[in-house]
Order: sequence, then structure tokens, then C-alpha cells
Amino acid sequence: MHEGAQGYIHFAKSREAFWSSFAERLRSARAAPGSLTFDGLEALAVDYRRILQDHALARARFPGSALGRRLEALAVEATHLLFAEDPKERFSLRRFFADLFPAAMRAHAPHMALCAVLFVCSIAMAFSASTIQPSIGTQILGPEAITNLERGELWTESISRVVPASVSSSAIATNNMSVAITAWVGGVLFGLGSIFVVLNNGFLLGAVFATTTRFGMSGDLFEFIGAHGPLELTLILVSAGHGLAMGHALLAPHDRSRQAAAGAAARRAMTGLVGILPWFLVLGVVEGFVSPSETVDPEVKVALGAALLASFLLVAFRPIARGEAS
Amino acid sequence: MNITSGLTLGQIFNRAMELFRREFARPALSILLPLALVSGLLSAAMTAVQTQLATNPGLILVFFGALILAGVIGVVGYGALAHMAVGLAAGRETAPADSWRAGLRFRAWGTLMLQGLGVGVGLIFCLLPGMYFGLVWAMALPVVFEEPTFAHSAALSRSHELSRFNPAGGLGNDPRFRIFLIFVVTLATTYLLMGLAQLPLIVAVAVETARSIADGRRDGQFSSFVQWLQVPTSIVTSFIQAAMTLLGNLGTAVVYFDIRGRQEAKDLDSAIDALDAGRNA
Amino acid sequence: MSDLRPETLLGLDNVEVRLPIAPFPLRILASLLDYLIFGILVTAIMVFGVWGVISTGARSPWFIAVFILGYFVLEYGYFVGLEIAMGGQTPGKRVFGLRVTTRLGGQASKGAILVRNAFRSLDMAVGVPFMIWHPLAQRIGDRLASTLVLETAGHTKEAIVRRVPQHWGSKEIAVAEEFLRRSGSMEPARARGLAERLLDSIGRDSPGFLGPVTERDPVERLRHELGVTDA
Repeated sequence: MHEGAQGYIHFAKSREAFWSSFAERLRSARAAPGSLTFDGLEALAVDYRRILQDHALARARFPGSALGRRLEALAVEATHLLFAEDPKERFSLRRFFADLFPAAMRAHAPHMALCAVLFVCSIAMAFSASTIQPSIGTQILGPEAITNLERGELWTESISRVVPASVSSSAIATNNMSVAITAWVGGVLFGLGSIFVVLNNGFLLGAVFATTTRFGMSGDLFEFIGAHGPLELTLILVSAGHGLAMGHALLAPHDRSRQAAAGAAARRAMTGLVGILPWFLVLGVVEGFVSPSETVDPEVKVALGAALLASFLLVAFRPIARGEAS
Repeated sequence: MNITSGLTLGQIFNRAMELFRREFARPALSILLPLALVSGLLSAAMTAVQTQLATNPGLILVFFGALILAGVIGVVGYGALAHMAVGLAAGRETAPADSWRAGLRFRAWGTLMLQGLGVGVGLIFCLLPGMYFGLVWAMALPVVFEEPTFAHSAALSRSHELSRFNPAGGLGNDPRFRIFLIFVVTLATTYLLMGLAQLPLIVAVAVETARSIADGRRDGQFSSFVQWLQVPTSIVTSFIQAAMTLLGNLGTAVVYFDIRGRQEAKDLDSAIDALDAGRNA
Repeated sequence: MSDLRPETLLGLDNVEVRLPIAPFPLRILASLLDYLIFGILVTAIMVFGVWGVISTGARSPWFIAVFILGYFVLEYGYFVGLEIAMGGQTPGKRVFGLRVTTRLGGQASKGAILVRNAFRSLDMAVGVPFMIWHPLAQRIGDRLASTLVLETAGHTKEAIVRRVPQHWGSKEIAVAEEFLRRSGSMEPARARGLAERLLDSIGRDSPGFLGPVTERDPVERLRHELGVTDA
């Protein structure tokens, strides 16, 4: 082996053609990944090992040299191209809704149940508090809505008269999705964010029910939310439950680091969040067009609400076809 | 060899961040905290004036006293921060006491005030001249601390000259553009961190509002607790502002030494000297 | 074995590779550029919505509905969609030479990109201190998705020498290469002076190494004598 500067020159001269060819093949593979054949990929993988060895040699024997820096840059580029984290199987919607989503739902059922309990408690508490202290409902709904209630009219009716159904439908869908995402993301604050969203929604619902009950309008409110309410609230609880699972992993990581445990939980929980988002679009249409409609019978609205909830639960908790999906 | 010049934008930021992380503890208590506390004092005086002026008219004098103190310590303290940043970027062990002394020198605070005045006047004339002056004079304090110039205006001229040094051409290599990006990053980071620092105050206001709703009150008045909570919030936000100023100063100092290195290349000179000496030994 | 730093990756055969972690300020700049593009896109769909409403004589509210949905899709989909489509980059990241990778420098999965971007809003509020103080500049989303943001190669040109005097060692090579890399951005007179010093030094210690003077510029001559190629 040549030593010192002559070793450097010999090293550079003897390997230059190989490094240039490797760099060129990397560039082509990055520009058009589809054009990479199996043989080409195999050759890149074998040559990657040689690049790493050359880099180690340059780093040890010629520290601070331009060659060392160039080989390091090549090694980093090749590492990115050759090490892909995506699973070998292509993403399939069918597999997602047949296996992955139901598996995530089952895995997070205890957390969703806890959210449901908290939600009911929050409704009960807010209902009691607002019955004793009516100003709570007044502050939440605003004086205009109270004036409407005094006239025997829900505030939703005046809104639906002014805002076209298509607009309210898209606004409702996107707002609900934002709430669900917030409930999910809030889980990373040791579950506190998810719990806050659950309690807050429960509180608002309880206070609104107490206020409408005070004005003898609770039946109208039930009729209004009959079509969309059951599924909407379920979806919020599902997203909060998945968020809570992340918080749980942070609090009790068991034999892993908190970061690793929360990271794994976040990936599992992401499946749940992605699985519920499309349902909000359906709900947006129902809430924008069906719920405020006076031509649809209350019984039909309630039946639609029950059917939507049942459909979601059937999809979410369907038996997993191909073993345990991870 | 240790690369200190001919840096890319990423290398400039890397070097500034590395210095900031490694050396943050050094100015934290001795420069950043006093600056923050003075700001807190001003905020406390302001809250006292707002809440108790009717019963104690003498508070107005306390407020103006705090204002003058905050102004003086602010100017000297920001000069000290610039001195600390220049020393760290040069690879020197810089004691906070030396930085305070440097900030007290007329050359430092005089240049800082002249620079502020120029930028302020420039901002009055449709913002852009002020922004441009801010960019081309950004290296005035590194010049004051590193080069034997005596007149304040000479430091500004020298900074202007350095800021135009770009033999390689290209926007990415232009010192003015690099300083502009450092300024943008510092500003954006300051706002993001200040938002975080104000979260406790926002939560307190939200809780207070919820409680007033539950009590059936509609007066919109906040308790004295919430009003006084502004004082620690002001201390924390001032600390963040000063810390981000240090980060910006570090970036500017790295750019300054990068330009000096490209003009003078003393590191390469010494490296060639060392090689010659090694062979002759 | 040398000390392993957080950004050092142990590759095949335990070869150490230092991952070029993107400094936090570059990431802020890339984000600002992306939010600028985001703002332009939002403005575009808003103009589309307003145009639609005006052109139909306010008879079709569907344009507003499309704007609301479009805004939502952009808000949550801009970073996710582009990072997936552009191999871990967005337009802002591409301009500043950044790329999202796995913790081991590989291509991040779609799931990882979804997770890191789901926490973007939270990171806007509380993620900055994490990025400043963490040696890998990971925000909360990066930690949970186990991703890094690296600087991409190719933005610095290296000058590699191909011919050196007999007596030179690795230190001399490092100095010469560093000088030639920087010479383009140096004060021209200073660069010429340093090149002359290096040429003198070579001429003194290896008299037969230098050929006849053909270039007038000493920097060019040094490049020629050392057989420099840019990589």
C-alpha cells in the first residue's frame, strides 16, 4: 500500500472511475426511480458497501481531505436511496379498511371507552351546573340564540336560513376534522390535550342541553342532532381515544424509552385517525343538508343517525380477515 | 484543519447554533437575566401605574425611573451581548464581566445608538432604507470590538464595506443577504418562542373568563393575579428576546469572521507557515 | 474507535458516517418559504371562489364550499403531500437543500411523514425549543416519527488534487485542497499571494515537480500543477 500523499493520489486515481460511475448511477436512480432494474439495484447495493469502505479508509488515513468529504457525501446520498422504510407491500385501501383500521380500533378500545366515560361525566356535570346557573348556557350560546329560544326557535334554524347548505356542509366537515385532529395530537401532551377536547365537548353539549331544556326545546335539539350527532360524537371520542393511547405510552413506556414507545403508539394511532377522517365528509353532508331540513321526518333523521353509527361500527370493528394486522 | 472561512449558509448556521448551544450558560445568568429583570421591573412599574395610580400619584416617578434604567441597561447589555458573541465566534474564552465592560465603552454604546438612530430614520422613510442600513451596518459592533477603528462612523463605514464583499458573486454568497436571512430567522424564532412563553398568561385569562362566566359576571375585569402575571411573562419574553439577539449576534459574528477570513486568509497563512516550519525543523 | 456523536450513523461493516443534520435556522427559512407558497395557493383558491360567486351572480355557493374544502386540504395536506411526492422534500426544503429521512438516513415512509406533519401545529407552539437544544434538531413530530432533516449533498464543490510533490503528506494535501476550495470566494490579490507561497514552497522542496509557467494567474497554475478536478 502506498503511504502519505502518494497513497492519496494512487487511491484517488485508482478509484475515481468507480466513484464517478457510482455517483452517476445514484443520480439516475434518484431522477427516475422506476428505471432502476433489479440487477442495477443489486449492483448499487454491492457498490455501496465498497463506497463505505473507501470512506472509512479516506477518513482514517487522509483526515480533512476533499476526498474524504466527497466520499462521505456519496455515502449519505446512497444511504438515503437504498434504505427505504416503507413496507414491501403497496398501500391498499382494501387492506387498510379490512385489516389495519379494525386492528387499530380494537387495540385502542379501552382508551376510547375511558373517553366515553369522561364525556358522559362531563355532560352530566355541565347539565347540572347550567341548570343551577343558567348564565353558563347564555354565555356559551350568546344572547341572540337565547332570544331565538325565547321565541321557540333553535339558533340552528336562523343559521340554516342564511347560510347555504353546501357552504355549511363543507365548513362543518372541515371544522369537525380539525377538532378530531386536535384531539388526536393533544394526546402527546401526556393525554391531557385529548382529555381536554373530550371534557370541553361534553361540557358544551351538557350546557346546551340544559339551556334548551329550560326553554322546553330539548326535543327540537334532539331532532336536529339525531341524524349526525351519534356518529359525530363517536368519531371525536375515537380520535381522542387514539390520542390518549399516545399519552398512555408516554406515561407508561414499559421496557422502551418514552420516545420509542410514544413513536410506536403514534404510528398505530395514525391508522385510527386516517380511518375516521372520510366519515366526517359524510357527516358534513348530513349535517348541512339533512339535519336542518324541515321536510325530513324526525324519525327518518334518527334512523339515519342510527344507520350511520351502525355502519361505522361495523367497519371499525369488523373481524380481521388475515390474522393480526400490524 | 479547522475550517473557519469560505463557509456555506448551512455551515454559518451550524457554527452559530453550535456556539449558542455550547456557550448559552455563560451569558444566561450574567447578561440575559439582568436584561430580562430590568424589563420585568419596567412591566411591574407599568402594572402598578395602571392599578394604583389613583391612590399613589408618586408611582409615575417610579415608572419614569424604571424606564430610564431599562433604557440604559438595555443599550449597555445589548452591547455586552454583541461583545460576547464576537469573542465566542473568535474562539476566545470571554468572561461576562469583560463583555459588560466592553458594553460600557463609549465606542460600543455610541456606535449602537448611532446605528439605531440611522436605522430608525431610515425606517421612517418607507421602511426599506432603514432595513438596508440595518443589514449593511450589522457588523459595526464586531468591527468596534475586533478592529482598531475609533470613530463611530468609521465602524459603520467599515461594516458597509465588509457587507459588500462578494468576489464569488451570487445572491447566496452576498453577506447582506446572509445577514438578512439571519435577521429573518431570529425574528421568526423570537415570535414563536414568545408565543410559547405567553401560554401561561393565555391559560390564566381563559380560566378567569370561564370562572367569570360561571359566576354570572360580565364586567370583563381581570383579577390582580392575572394583571401581575404580566410581570413574570414580561421577564420571560425579554429573556427570550435577549437570547435570540445573542443567536443573531453569533450568526453575524460568524459572517464577519468568514469575510475577514476570505479577505485575509490568516488561517491558511498560518497553516502554510506551520507546514514550512515542520519541513525545516 | 472514535467517539460516536448523536449524528454519527454506524453503517454496514460498522463504518461511521456522519449525517449532515440540517441546522435549525435553515429549517425555519425553508418553512417560511413553504408558508409563503401556501399563502399564495390559498389566495389563488380564494380568488377562484370569489370569481365563481361573482360570475354566477352569487347563485352558486358551491365555489365557497370548494374554497373551504380546498383550504382544509392545503392546510393539512401541503407538507404531507409534497414530502411524500418529492421524496422527503417540499419546495422550501429543496431551495435550502434539506430532506426528511429516517433516523438512519434512509427514505422516510409515508406513515412517518404523516406522523411528523400531524404534529406540525403543536410544534409551531412548543417545538422550537426542542429543535434548538436537541443535537439532532428533532421537533416533537420528528421524535415521534423517528425522522431527521438532513442537508442534501451537492451544494459545496470540492477541489481534489491528483498530483502532488513526493514529500507531501496528508496535512499538505488538506491545506492545498482547502485553499483551492476557498480561492474563488477570496480576495483575488490575497488568493494569488497564497498560491504563490504554495508554488514557492513546492519549487523549493521539489524542484523538478513544477512545469514551465503557462498560466499567468498563480491560482490557475497551482490548480494545473496539482491536477485539480472539481467534484
